[in-house]
Amino acid sequence: MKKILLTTSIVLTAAAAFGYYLFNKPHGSIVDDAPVSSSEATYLVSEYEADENAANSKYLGKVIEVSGTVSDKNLDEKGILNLVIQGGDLAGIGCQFDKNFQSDALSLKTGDQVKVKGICTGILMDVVMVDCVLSKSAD
Amino acid sequence: MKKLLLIITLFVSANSLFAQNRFFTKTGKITFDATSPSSPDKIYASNEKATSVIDASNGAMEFALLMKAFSFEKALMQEHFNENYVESDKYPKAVFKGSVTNIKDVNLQKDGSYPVKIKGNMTMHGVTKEVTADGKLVVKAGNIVSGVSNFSILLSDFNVGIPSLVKDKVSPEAKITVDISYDPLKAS
Repeated sequence: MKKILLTTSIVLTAAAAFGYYLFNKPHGSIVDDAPVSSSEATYLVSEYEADENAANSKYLGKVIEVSGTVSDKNLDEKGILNLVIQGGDLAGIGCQFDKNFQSDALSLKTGDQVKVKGICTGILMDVVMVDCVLSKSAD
Repeated sequence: MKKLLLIITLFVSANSLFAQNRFFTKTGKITFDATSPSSPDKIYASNEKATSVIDASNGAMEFALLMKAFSFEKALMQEHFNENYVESDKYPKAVFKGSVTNIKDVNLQKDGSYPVKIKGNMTMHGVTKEVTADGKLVVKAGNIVSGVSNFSILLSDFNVGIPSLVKDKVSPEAKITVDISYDPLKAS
């Protein structure tokens, strides 16, 4: 009987600790996540312009990889890097970087080729990706 | 011939004037805070990828943001926000369309910070509701360079339900802050 009680209490404590850990888990990085798709920026933008709902059902909230040419770059007031990758005539891909993983992207210039991984959040004027990191496979 | 030149000159200058009347951003910052006074955790998120356009000639103003671009400190809170509260798979965007009702008080010829009244319709979670807010627009060298506003919304107005389990943590009223730096919109 004592054994059962002891086991139960251990299990319960472990469960509670795990729950507490999950609850307090900080907003993570996607640096080790595999992207569900990898495409050219121009193609991704054309997919979004053709059918936003269809594109959202494929990409919304998922980690995707996009390659293309940097058309704009800036740091916001919190020091977070924002890149725009050229897409169509008007829309591009706006990439908001993960501040902890942006150091290797800070030297990029307009016109450079990049491959960026991030979470797709949909389209406004640009397709917007957040928590972005440079893809390791980029050469 | 002179007349034609005059017309062309007038047209060109009117056009460039018009071009300078509109200001936009793709990196506007919008935050919300729905922490109830008794909650030990801050229920707060920020979104730094909001778009906004304002037309200084008539006060028309628009905002749009993607719900999934809200970033929380805790991963689980962000997941619950997206899946259980705002259902961002179904309703990925929030949009505000309205106007600055006292835009005539904002003098583009004079640098300064102008208090403004904003009124319009906000759509979120599939519900459209009229909202009003007070804000400030900052004018510098003939341009609107920034805008700020604070207002509150009732989550129930937008059909966002709060489970009774977390009633003591999540406030029924969310405080929204808007902080935008504007750039002149170049005529394309």
